[in-house]
Amino acid sequence: MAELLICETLKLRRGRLFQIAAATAIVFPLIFALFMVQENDTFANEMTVCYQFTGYLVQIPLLCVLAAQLFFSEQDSGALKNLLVIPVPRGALVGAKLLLLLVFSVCYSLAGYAVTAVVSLALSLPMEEMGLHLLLSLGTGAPFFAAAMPCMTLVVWLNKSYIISVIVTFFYTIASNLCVFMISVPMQPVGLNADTLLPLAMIQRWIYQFFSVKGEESVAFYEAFRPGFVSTPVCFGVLGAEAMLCVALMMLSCRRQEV
Amino acid sequence: MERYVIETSHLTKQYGEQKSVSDLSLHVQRGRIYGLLGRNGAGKTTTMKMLLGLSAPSGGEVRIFGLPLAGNEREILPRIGSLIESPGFYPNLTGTENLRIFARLRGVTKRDAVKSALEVVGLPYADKKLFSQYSLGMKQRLAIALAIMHDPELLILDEPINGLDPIGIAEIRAFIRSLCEERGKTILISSHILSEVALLADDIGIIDHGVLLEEESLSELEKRSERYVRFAVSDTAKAARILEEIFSTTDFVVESDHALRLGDLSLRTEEIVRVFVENELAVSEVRTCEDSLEDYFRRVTGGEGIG
Amino acid sequence: MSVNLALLLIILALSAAVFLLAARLVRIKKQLRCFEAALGDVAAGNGARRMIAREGEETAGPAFAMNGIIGRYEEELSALRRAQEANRQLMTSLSHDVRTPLTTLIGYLDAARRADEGPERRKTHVAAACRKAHELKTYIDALFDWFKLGSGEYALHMQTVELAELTRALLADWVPVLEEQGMRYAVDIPERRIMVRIDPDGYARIVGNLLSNVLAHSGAQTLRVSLACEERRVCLCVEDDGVGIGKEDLARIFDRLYKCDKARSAGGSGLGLSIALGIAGEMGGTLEAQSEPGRGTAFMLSFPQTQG
Repeated sequence: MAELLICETLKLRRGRLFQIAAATAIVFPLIFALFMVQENDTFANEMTVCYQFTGYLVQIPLLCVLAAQLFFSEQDSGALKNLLVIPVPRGALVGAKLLLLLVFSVCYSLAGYAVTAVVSLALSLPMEEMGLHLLLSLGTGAPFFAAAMPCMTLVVWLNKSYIISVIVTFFYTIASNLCVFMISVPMQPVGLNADTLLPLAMIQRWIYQFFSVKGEESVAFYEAFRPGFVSTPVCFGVLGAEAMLCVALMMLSCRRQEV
Repeated sequence: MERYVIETSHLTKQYGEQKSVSDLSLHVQRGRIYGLLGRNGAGKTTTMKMLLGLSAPSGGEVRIFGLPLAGNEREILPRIGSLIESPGFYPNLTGTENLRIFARLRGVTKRDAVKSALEVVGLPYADKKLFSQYSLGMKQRLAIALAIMHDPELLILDEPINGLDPIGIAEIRAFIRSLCEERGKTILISSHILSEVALLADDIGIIDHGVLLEEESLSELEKRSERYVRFAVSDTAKAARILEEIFSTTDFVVESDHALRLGDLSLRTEEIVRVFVENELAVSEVRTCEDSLEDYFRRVTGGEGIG
Repeated sequence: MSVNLALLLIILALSAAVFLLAARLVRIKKQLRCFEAALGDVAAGNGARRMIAREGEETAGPAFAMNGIIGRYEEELSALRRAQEANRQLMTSLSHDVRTPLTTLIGYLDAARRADEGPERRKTHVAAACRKAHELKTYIDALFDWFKLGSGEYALHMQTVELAELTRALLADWVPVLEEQGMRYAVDIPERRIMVRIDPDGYARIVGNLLSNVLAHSGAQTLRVSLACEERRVCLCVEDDGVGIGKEDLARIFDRLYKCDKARSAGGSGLGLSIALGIAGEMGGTLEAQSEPGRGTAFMLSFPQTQG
């Protein structure tokens, strides 16, 4: 698997899409940090902006689009059949690509942290809770990846052109974010309901408890939200289970496909 | 050691109602070049895909190196080098980078395997050209380099000379021959061009509409389709003297005490028979074989020919 | 708190290291088992089998070295096998080449024995039979020579001779034949002394073979024989302006039994050039051919010069 992963990274060389994706890891946190800053904001507030804007709106759909590229281009260029006769099991190929995307996601989150930190320093904001948010950035890499997985699975299962994949991603992102930002409190407790199964909602329920809020309205909302918070194990557990289901479906889909 | 490197029994591939390959029983012997000859769409590529495990058969079995392919891919596939359909590589990488990826994943059999493979097919090693910028001939050469890079015992090549210029075709032809004769490899090539297959193959399998019509060694087929007149006479010594003395030809071969093959087709058979009989020779058979190899194949494939 | 974290990190790192080592071990074990199977296959006679390893792995060194050894042995073995196969084919075609003229000869003799043949006819048949017998003998003599050359038993008597004079003398013998066939010829031999160490009979044989090929197969109008000195070597060049030899054939004309199509009906043995090449080699020289279809052919025989 290590060799497969190394080869996946080697295949990215000179690849336009990944270069652009890497650039967005710097550009978007920069833009959001600069333009969403408010009075009396601290570094921690900037970070919440980073998670909810860069993370939800850019990182997750980006992962889906990258997944489409990774899964489709090999088949289109005909390189897939040469890999399969080595032999490399289709499952291992899928796994390696997903692993690459996971690593990418973690790095993306860390990049967001670094850029936000730099901007905050430049704007002379109070650098509060740096350690916490470093850990959170590290920790959100995998959940964001898990949140992107249902969309990835859909894209792979449909196995259609890139345009269709982008459209699907677009709608998925809009739908998930609408649900999150329309969160009504009180939330339903953990169970078989939308507030649990929707990955983005789960992430919000987990990450929000770490935000330090100011202002009456925000504090009121925070307190009303509090019963809906989930602990780290619960969040990772649910997301992990959903991710594994998606992986299984993806492997099934790839195995079915004729080369 | 098993006799057949590749052996399929009743191999079938069905897409919905249509059978693209039906009841195919192929036999490829060790150390020989097998030419799979058939028109475009006859089922050559589909068959080869099933031999490599890229496509699952609807029926029948594939045995390679004496083992069934299903379930033994890990042992079998590393010993095979292949070229199927169009060359498949990563367009954003150079030729060397492409080969290095496959060398990492599969492993190689000697140092600087990538460099040697590129040298053999005549592609530059330290080239900055990306695969997307390659000409068709270069792409094909790179595909061949990939197939031979790990020095496999068995090569499965789908139309290997496709897209090459005449010099390239001659080079690859000589190369394939040397792989078989000097290195003892077994090679299965497919083509729709009879002349190419006839130059290379030791055994030929004719496939049409997914069915293997005939499987025979090339020398047998050539014998069946040579141009000559065959006489069965009572005394070949007399017949030989008559041919040389009266018809002034030495273009004949005595096969046995009663059979003689005349290669000179310009002489009129009725004349010869008349003179034979005048000289008290009994002639029991006169057979003119004027099939060229093409004519033979045309007959076998039901009158539509190859191409 | 931080101690626990540090401890956790150390444990994680250690387990990662152990995991990696274990994975490495498992892979090496699997590879060694693969190698064992491959070597067993090679021992059973499959010389085309190789062992695969990634460059940089521990097992790569021995695997590659072993592949090299197997490859070399396989090449030698297959050269042997090809020689055996070639000999087998040689035997088969030889039997044909001997059987057909022998059968014709029997035919002539049978005809000569018949009571109802007149004396004139009988004489013709006997003469023809004689001719056939001589042809056969020549062929079998050539065959013996060819075999002897192949096994290194061809007897050569090497002497230091003056090549210019020797060549002139040989050509003088051929002039009547050339004129009889209507072949125009040009001879270009320098006046100086050129000393070489060769077997004069062998040399005569090669020259004879080259000249008779030109007469029989080239369809040429003009023949040019020249002797040239370059550095330490002397080169005899026999050129004609005949039909030439195609590229595919040119590579194979020195092969035993190879005859271009025209030659087959004329009844050549196909061994002449092969023998010429063999003799030249035994004498320490080289024989090469160049040709352009439609323009002509040139054969170049060269030897190293010696000090007189």
